[in-house]
Amino acid sequence: MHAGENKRDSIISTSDASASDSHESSTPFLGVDTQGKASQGSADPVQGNAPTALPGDEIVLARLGEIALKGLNRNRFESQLFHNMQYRLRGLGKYKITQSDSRIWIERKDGPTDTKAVIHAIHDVFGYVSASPVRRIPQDMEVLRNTVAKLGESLFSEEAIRINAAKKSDHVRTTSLPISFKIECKRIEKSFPLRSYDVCCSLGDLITERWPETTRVDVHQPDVTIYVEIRESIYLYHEIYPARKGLPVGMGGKGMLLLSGGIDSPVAGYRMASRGMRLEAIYFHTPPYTGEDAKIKVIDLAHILARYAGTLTLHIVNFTEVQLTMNKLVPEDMMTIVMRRMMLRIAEAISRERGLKALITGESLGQVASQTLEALVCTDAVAGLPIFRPLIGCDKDETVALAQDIGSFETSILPYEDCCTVFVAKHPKTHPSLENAEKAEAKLDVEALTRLAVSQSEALQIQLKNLEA
Amino acid sequence: MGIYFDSTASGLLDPEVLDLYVEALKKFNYNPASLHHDGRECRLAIEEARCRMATVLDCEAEEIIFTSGGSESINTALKSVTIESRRRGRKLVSDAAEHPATMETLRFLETAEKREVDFLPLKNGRYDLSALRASLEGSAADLISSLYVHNENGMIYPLAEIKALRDELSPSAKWHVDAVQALGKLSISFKNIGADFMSFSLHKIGAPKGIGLLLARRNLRLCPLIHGGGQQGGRRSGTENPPLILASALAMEKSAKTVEQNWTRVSALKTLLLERLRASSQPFREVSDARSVPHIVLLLFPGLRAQTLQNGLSERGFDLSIGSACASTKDADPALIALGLSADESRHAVRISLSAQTREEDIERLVHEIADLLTRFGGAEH
Repeated sequence: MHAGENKRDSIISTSDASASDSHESSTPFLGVDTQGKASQGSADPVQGNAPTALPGDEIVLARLGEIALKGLNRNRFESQLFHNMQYRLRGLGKYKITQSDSRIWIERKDGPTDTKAVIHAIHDVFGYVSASPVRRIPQDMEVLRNTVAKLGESLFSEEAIRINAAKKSDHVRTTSLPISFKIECKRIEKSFPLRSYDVCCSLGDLITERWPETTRVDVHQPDVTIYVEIRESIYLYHEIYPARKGLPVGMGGKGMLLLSGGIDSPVAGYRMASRGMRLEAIYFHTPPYTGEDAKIKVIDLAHILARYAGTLTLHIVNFTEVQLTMNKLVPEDMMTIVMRRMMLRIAEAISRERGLKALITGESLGQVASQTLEALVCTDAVAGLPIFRPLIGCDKDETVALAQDIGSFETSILPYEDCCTVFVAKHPKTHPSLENAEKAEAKLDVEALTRLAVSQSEALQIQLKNLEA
Repeated sequence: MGIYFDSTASGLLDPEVLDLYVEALKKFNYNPASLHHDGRECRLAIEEARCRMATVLDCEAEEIIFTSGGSESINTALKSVTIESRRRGRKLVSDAAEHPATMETLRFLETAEKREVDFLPLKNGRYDLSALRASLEGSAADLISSLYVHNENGMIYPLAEIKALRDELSPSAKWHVDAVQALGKLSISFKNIGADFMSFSLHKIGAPKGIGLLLARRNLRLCPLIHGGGQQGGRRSGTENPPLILASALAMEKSAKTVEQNWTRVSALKTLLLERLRASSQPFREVSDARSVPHIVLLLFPGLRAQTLQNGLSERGFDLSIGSACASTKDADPALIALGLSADESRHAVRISLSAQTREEDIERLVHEIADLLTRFGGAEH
């Protein structure tokens, strides 16, 4: 227990809020570690600790990041973000989304807001940094004190601590008593009678008096931070759930992802979608060398991508004729290079037909024989559209970690061979020159083969399913 | 349903057996342990079926235990012997080409019961009796487990010789025989074979899935795998399944009646298959032992991976297996490696199962499609 004076000093916190706050989560919760990394795609990021029978109502706050840096175009970015969020909220009711000061407020119009469901629903939307469930109460100090007292029940009482500790038992960081806390207060409504400092003191005292055994104040590294914002209403929150950041899908044009069944290509697609790019995808199906299993696996991966990139079209190209022709006319050690050149030509032909302006692959420099610098130069040479390779400088373990995060890893490692694995030559040429490549495909009528493959492709609509109410 | 060449994985359901099964589902719908009239009817039905099965397998009715399938039978036998021999704690002997049901159970027992397990290597793809001799001379065993017919290439194990070695060198060892692939192909006499345990799976011979048999010598102490209400003399608790048991008894009787002529017919079919393949000039190799059942034919096609061949044949309406039906992962099947195939060869191994229901024209068409696939797509993969 601190001496009274010291306690006063240590509760002080200024009310300067930066335009884009990206706080670390101060309360560890199920599925998210305290470094603020996004949780596993399928895990529910919200652990509701909402106290019952509190005054006021609940809404959701989402914080903007990079969008706040946009100048004249900011409105368009925000519109796209709201649109994408609204799509996901469709099954949950009618929602109003408003923006002020780099913050987005999400409130249900036709009933009370289920903050847990909303935060879960928008979790896979790119374009904002984090979200919090917020309690909104009238601008009244007594009401504020009552609310904080009730909130304290669920955070600082002995029983609450026991329950929370049990829930968080998987985390490395232990919750040892007493729990340290801090009040952070922002007073925007200047007509409010008390200063921020006084509000902090009042609330801090309330907590330490009610729970003297289990709480102490710590303004540097508190276990829990309670945020109070005084506007025309008072907004109260203490949980911050990191989101996936990036830019809203729809702002980055449209690109064609070359999707194999491997670990890398879905991650590459995710990365581009996170910069706001809408996606279509292309898969080269080579029956009987590749089976139905491999095709279904790719469709599953496309569904996983759609969670983040929105509804997308998957083009399944029957590549068998092309493959058989190459088998006859292309030397074995250049097969992989020529295959990739043909795939790029086909992908580009379909992209141009559909108005897509870039190709995307999961290539990483040096990862396999076909991904040496020289090999990449050979494949790039046939493309007129830019080829984005977001993983070009990534280590495999980074890619694997991201694949696990977005939920594609388990599907990618299913052992169904695709054409990229079946036709790897025993001794491929790893540093081919452009001249080698052109010579190797000299006997091929590349235009005719490209046209043939394009004519033998089917397009599947992969819908983003939104959540049911 | 395609043209069926996969009876090793599962036998096609016999229509007469199916009809009986459906009727029995309606009629024998009560708990055989119940003491009322309907329950007793069920009890009588299953006991009568048990007797009929005992005739087919040349054993005592009490020696038959109904299980949920081959895997449960095998688990029961292996785990029971291991537990009952805890005090002596001697080794458990099997071979490297075993079916996963045995292999995985022994691996588990190796760790959980801290028992030494010996997986004897085969020699030139055949069961190596000298390896068994050497192992038992080294130290006596508590358990010997062997297959009767191998599920990948149909090889017949030298049961008489294995028994002789057991009797000579390790007479108190219990001997389990996995006869899952032998039922319906060979005449089986539990008495004559002289094993302590034999495992069977009934869906292999055209009964519905979900039932197997464990034969256990009458005076053996059996530690049950499943404890509970004490059914089947306490040896395997759980409510018995009269419809399934009745269907199985019929299937067993039907198949026992025709074992000999089936063998003749299937031998002829296998000869036809190999003849047609040779005539097609497509390179292939038969991976079978001189002593094997004709119903299981393991072939290597160097021109195409087995997976590719299966994709193509499946698309054209043919059902067959590659590797073991149980293990369909990318890694080389360990049983095939034990049988002497290289890892690469194991990826080119296709198993064609023949039965009395197979027609000559089916074989002609199969060979035609295989040849076509090899011609069109062969030689390209690495």
